[in-house]
Amino acid sequence: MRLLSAEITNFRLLREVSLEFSTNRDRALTVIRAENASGKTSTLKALKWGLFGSKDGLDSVGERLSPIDWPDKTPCELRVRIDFEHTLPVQIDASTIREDTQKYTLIRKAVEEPTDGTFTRSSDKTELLHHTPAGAEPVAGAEARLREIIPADMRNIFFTDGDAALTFISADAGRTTKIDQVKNAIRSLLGLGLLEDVESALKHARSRLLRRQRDDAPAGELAKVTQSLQEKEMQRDGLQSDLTQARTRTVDLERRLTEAEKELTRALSLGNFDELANQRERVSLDLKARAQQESQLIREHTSLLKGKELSWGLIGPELSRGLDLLRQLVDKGIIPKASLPILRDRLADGRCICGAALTPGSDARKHVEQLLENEKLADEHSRLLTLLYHTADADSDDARSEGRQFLYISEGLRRKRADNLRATEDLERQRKELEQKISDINAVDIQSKTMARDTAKSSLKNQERRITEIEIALRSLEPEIEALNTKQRELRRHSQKLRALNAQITATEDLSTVVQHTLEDMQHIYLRRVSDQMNVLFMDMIGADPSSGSVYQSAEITSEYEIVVNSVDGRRLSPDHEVNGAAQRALTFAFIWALTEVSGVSAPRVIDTPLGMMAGTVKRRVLELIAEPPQSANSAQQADHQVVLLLTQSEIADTEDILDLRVGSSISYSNTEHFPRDLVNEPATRQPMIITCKCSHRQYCELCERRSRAHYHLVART
Amino acid sequence: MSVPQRQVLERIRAHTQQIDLRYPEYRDDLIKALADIIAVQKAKPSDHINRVEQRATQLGDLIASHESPEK
Repeated sequence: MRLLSAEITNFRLLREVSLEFSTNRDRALTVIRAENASGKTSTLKALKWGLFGSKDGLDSVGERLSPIDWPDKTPCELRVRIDFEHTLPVQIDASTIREDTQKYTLIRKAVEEPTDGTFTRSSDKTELLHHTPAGAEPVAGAEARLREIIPADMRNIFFTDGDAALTFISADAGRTTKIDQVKNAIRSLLGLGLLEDVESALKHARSRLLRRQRDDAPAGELAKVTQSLQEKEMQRDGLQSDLTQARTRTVDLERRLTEAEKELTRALSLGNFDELANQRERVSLDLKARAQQESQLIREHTSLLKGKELSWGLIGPELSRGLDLLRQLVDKGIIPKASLPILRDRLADGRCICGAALTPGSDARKHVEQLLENEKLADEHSRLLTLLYHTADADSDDARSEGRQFLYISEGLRRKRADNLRATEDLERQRKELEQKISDINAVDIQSKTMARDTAKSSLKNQERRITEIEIALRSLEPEIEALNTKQRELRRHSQKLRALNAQITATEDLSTVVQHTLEDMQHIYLRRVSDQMNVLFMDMIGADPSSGSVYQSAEITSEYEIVVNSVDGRRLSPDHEVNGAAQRALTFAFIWALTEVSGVSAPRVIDTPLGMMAGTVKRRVLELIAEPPQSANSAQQADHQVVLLLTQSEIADTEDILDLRVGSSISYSNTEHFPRDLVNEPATRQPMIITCKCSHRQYCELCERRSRAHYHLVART
Repeated sequence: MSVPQRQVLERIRAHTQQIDLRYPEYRDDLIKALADIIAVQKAKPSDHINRVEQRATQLGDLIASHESPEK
């Protein structure tokens, strides 16, 4: 199905709105640009009401549809006209499926009358016109025909509100509701319910034919054989049903077992309690040894500070300087003093070293005696300096040696204490880590997880045993049924009277077989395909690469019809509270797109505010995916590809280049009530309503020019 | 028909290949009968059970008409 055009009259703010939809396969997007409170949601509702009617197309029958300012007690005719085309198979045989496209016009009307704050609404009047070469012909049973073309179950898949669509993954309405939404959508689009109904109708038909066969030959052997056969077949059907249930339960148990094992492994990965306690004990002992070593080093340090090495170390440089000075005195001959004994000898000898007589009372003798007195005075200083010189000279080597030793021992002790401190800190850290690990380990938790694992394992084993038992029972039943069938065929052949009936039963059985196998395919293969395709689309949209360790590793639909996301650490994330907002929307679109692509159902996709809550690359990727032609092998689906997006300018921002390539039709809505606050130019009417123009996502005109246009770099439409 | 779409028809066509050929054109007739039955079931008129049975018996009559009396 593909929309061609629509006219909406008196539907809320949409008093008179005409829409042309793009039918270009490569530019399949129709963009309706509208700011908030400018008719986007009303357009979605109007199209849903037009196609699905008041019963299925409205969220609530108590919802008023006429313009809010419509005068009281004045009938208001609501009207939606939709022109569309529909492609359907017209010739089906074993080798080909030929399709044909036909055009229709749908007109839905109702009269609403507001009265004192409430309203009444007439029932819908629906007209469906089929366009043939001879002209438009009314279709009898318009609603039934419409439901054939686009079943009511599909309304929330193909006509989505960006927020409402999240109900497929959000548990706001409860897990069961969420699962039911997904289940119903999948069943509807894959036609499972319909096929089940067909299967049931064929079984019913076969039962009636068999009963007639039995009634036609009540006393005969054929009747007995037929009855036995029916009983055995019922038994087989029951066993097969049990087998299906048991297999489903096995899949569930296998999943539970895997999860339980993962949980247990995760719990055990925190460490073994006893081993960690031993390690902690060892570390504590090491810490104690380190503390003792530190005490020993402190004692040694104290002793060093009390020793002469420190003194030598401290006075060594000063002593060297003093010794140098004393040496200079020695070199200059100032010390040691040797003149005093010489002067005494000269006086005793009575002759000076210069040869002069030192006779008593002579001037020369008086001079020498004076010199002797002077020298006596200076000699005490000299003696002390000489003593100091000899002592210092003798100790200077010791001082240097002791000083160096002090520095050496002191540095050694400093290093040892620093090493000891580092080792102690390291051990303290180890002890803290071990204590943390020990406190993280919850022995009760491990016990409960082990029990959960063992229970799942035991249940799985029981279930597998049950499957084996059923399979054995089925295997033993098959030859009995086959034997009865052979017998029945033989008896039928002998009964001319029952030939036609037999052929009818055969035909019913063949029809049933084909439907059963088709149903099995749809249930298993196609559900998996939807899940796989959803995963591909989702990962693509959010730009996640599992091989490079992205947080989101995959998305899937479980056998219980629940949409989940698998994380890099092997956990199964619930999309509604463990996945970010943009990824939630991406996941919803991935699901809807995967479902429609795999189902092969061709219908327009109308989405209100699809890019809200999104930004950057995710927003661009989602739009690219929405806009690109489907990869489906289904020619009708490719030909009917059509997407109608109701977007605000802020959603459009940063995606203009994508829209440039994909938009085939553009419409802009403006709400007259937005003048003068947002709209620049005064509208021709001040009545609250939506006015439309053909401006694209990059343009503005006199009708839609907004004060924010410069912000979005819009250009005037010429 | 819009639902089930081609996917269902493709599967139906594939599975008819596993059905014994009761007469040369049997598989084509089987597919046609199923398409009709699905259409009836989808429209769900009040007598749809009878109509499904009628369409199945029509196919049975075609089988019978191709069978030789001695078969």
